Amino acid sequence: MRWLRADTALLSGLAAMVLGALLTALAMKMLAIPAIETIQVFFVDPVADGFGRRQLLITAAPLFLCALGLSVAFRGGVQNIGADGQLMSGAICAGGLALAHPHMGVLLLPACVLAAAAGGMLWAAIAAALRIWCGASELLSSLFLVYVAQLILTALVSGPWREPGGYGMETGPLPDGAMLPVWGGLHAGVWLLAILGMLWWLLERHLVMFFRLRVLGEAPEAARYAGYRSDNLIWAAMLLSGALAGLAGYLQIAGPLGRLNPDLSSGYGFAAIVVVFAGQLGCLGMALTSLLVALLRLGAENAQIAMHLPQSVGLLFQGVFLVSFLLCQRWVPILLERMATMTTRRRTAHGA
Amino acid sequence: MAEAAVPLLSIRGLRKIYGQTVANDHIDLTIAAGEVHALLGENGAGKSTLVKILAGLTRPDGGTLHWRGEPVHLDSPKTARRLGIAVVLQHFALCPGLTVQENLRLAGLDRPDLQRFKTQAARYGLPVPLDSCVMHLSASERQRLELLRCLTQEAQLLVLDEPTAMLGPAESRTFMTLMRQLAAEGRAVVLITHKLQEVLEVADVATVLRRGRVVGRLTDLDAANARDLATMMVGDLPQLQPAPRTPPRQLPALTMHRLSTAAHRDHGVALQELSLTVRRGEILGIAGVAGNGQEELLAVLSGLQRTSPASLLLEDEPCGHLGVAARRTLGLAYVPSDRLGVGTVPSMTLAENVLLTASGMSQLGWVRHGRLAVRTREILAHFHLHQPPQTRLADLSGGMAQRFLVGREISAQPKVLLAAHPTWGVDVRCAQDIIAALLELRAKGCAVVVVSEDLDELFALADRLAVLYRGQLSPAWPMAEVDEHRLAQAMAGLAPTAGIAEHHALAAG
Repeated sequence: MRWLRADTALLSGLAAMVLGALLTALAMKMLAIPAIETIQVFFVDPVADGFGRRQLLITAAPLFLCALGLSVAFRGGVQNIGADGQLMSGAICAGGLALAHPHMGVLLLPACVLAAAAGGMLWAAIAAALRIWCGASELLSSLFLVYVAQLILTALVSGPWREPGGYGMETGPLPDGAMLPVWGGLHAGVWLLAILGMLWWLLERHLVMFFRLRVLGEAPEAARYAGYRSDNLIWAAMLLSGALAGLAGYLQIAGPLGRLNPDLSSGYGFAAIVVVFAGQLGCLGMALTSLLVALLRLGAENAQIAMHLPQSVGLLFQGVFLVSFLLCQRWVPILLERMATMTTRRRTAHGA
Repeated sequence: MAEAAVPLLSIRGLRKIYGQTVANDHIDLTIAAGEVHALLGENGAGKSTLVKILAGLTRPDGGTLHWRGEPVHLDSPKTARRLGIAVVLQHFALCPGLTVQENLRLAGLDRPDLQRFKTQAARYGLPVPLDSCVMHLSASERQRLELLRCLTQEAQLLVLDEPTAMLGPAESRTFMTLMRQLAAEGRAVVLITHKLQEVLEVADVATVLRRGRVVGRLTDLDAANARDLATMMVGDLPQLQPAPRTPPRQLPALTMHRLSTAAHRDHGVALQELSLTVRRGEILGIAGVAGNGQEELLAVLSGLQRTSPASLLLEDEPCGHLGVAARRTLGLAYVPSDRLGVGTVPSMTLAENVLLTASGMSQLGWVRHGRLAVRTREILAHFHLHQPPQTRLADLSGGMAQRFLVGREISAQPKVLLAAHPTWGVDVRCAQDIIAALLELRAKGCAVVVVSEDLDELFALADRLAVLYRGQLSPAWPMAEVDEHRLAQAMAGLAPTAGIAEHHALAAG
């Protein structure tokens, strides 16, 4: 049974890739852009060299980190879709600390990490509190809080935190002590995240809290019957996903960006939702999908430069793949089951 | 009553089979214009199936229906409506987000109909705010709306499914008067209920269903034959098997002391000063017709609902204020009536379902999978289930799932086990396994409380039996003192309330 289910997930993933490729080809046909060249520019060129491959991992890292957190919340039926806001909040807290106290020495980096997690948690806590104490839907409040965070961020980087004498809306560079060390061309966040990804399945299997959240998500009445405190579980899910999103914000500012700007989130918090669902909440699935989404983003940038295609083409492809994933997740198991029953029926008919 | 005339509806030999269950078996029923005809029966007696057939929602597998003497086939709700049969279901078919008017339009009423709707509302004195959103209407207003809709559509036969279930006492009384008025106008009203008092008040004829069959019919209803009705509903009592049992020990395991709760919203039952002691090594059965406070009692005993500390003692420990988890730690286990989705998580494996309530399976927030597998195998072996622990619970049959659930709760070695109809809907062998397991638990000194509507089950298990009626508990009689009369009276609410005093004496002694 278990194997069959694993196969179903794999099959639906493959089917989604095929369907996505077909639809993409169709879209290219309609847009009258050369298919082979586009594929080359989108999917091959960005990862043709070592630099490109490192860029891919660096782009995928915050996506994957947000997705891990969100998957915990979604399992418990906690609809935190505001990871983007929590990411920005984390970046603001960590960035603010680094800019205000650049001379903390070796303590700066860990302090920033804590500040980023705290910032993400704070933003998630607002939505959690509204849900638990006022009964407000966390789906809506977490989403709206994204815009609040965005406005605060924009206000800060265009006002008090703006680099004196700088050109754009951005802060000055973060102090060196706040930047993530770079090992082998990749910042430490990527390496640590790879380790976390490998440990994650262990956490999933063993953490009682994760188990209880799954019960809450799959059978809330059973959670009540078992005496689980659903309020505490919702708090935990929101805070954990918020903390990881906040850390993702820190990966951005202390990794590729090196400073704060209004676009630092690049919509990663929303893209992470795509990653969670397309990856079917599984750790490996989410890792692969975050790489795919990252590749599409790099590809879109590349296509803009090389082929003068608008960036929205990249978004279009991303959308096409998401829809294919969702369709296949829903329909491949149903089709498989139908095929199985048909085979059994035929067999029974032969037997009789 | 128009007995000589052609009856409005006559049903002969009606049959409906779902898979292996016969829901309706050779039902004969005659409904005359101008009468209120009560249809009585327990849950699962076949009332709902009959209603669905009359509404045209389900087609019968056999038998005939005659409407004013003409044979008819109720093949769709439309046909039924055209003939003049209107059904008001217990859960109204209304769109909560739309206004009353919009709902009426949706039901096929046009402008002149709306005008007639208003006239009808004025005539019967049933005000319904036409421009209000349905979600802002109370249960009784929604019911009025449905009823008026049926009357506007010129219904000759009104089938009302548990119409007073959602109403308060005063509203119920008004509703009864209305039913009489409708009958006086020459319509026929079929009242589906399990409340005897109502039947006596309002009905001309009562037909009792049990296990899909008509088991009795009474006309000229009055208080004198209430007991007959109750006896018909209850059926023959199962034969007591005098199996040798060790007497219960004297130590109290669970004590309710003036346990009361408020009624939940506008329906539900308030529990009123329940006092009872269950001793160690004793099985107490709580009987009663569904909807008399069973759900509320189970919630308050299991800890899903909390009360004052001293109203519930587990051994000597006040625990009324404690939640589910804390009571579990004190030694309470609970087999809920809903085995899928409440007692277990169907999408999870058996091992995970053991983890759901078993204690000692984790340390510092970390699941101990080794221990969990051992415990799961023990539970499975004890009940001769041969599935591996990684099987999904949903892949088990109903009987296997129930044995697993009972097994899991027993494996916690509780001091008190609370079970809501533990053998409901499982096959005979499986039921025997579960009964044997509960008796074994009793022999070990655990107190067991079985709340059930199934007397067979209660008689197979209980040492003493109490009856819950409208949130009040009768004294708990030893099984030897339970007879049909006493039980039927208590279940119909005809027992003298002096029982409470009697019980206090018993508890003190």
